Amino acid sequence: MTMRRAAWIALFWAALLGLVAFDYVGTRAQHDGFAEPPAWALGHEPSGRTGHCSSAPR
Amino acid sequence: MTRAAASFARRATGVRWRGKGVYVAAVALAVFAVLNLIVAGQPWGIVYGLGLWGAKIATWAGWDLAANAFWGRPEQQAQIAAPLLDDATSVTNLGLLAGALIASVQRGTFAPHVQANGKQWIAAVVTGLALGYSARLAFGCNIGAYFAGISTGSVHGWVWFAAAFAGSVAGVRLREKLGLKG
Repeated sequence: MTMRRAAWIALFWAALLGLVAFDYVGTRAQHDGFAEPPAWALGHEPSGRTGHCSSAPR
Repeated sequence: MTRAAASFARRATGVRWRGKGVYVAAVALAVFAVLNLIVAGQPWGIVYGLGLWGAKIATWAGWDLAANAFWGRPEQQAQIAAPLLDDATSVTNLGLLAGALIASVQRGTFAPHVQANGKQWIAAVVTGLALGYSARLAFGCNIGAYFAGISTGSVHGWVWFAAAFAGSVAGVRLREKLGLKG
């Protein structure tokens, strides 16, 4: 792998993980640690507030 | 029967079906699809997460999505306000990107040199936007609507397949006209 390609990989992941970190810092107060979804979600409806492509607007 | 089908697939599709890799990948896909269903309580999906990322970036940029028909709903507003890592679809999207990166680096196909003229770049951008937008209108892409739909017994996955097949016939011909073949 060339240095240029390695730099592109590093830049992409720095931007992506930076966005995730920025999002986490700004929204972590909204995370309710006492309302964790069950580890085995099948039969308990979708876990937490997660969304899916096929979810119609409720 | 299975051996005959595999033999036919190898002859019909050339190099893509050679070797055991495709069968290992198929079994791995099935196993992880079931695990996704068990852990997240819903089938694997992709497009919702990408839309959520876009909605979050739009909100950070100062765009008020409260009046939007989809993102303005209380459930979706709560989703935008919650951490990205609370959303199972976003987490699997991050895993998908990591997996694609590892596979492309291993195969030496990461960031390939692309030669395209202006018309081809415009065609790629316009059709990419159409692809993303229509995936939301269809309630999912080939993963969330087609793969997840059919594997969980939903008729809408088969409807998606019929529409996508017709679209692919038109798309392949359009690629030739735009010089994107190959």
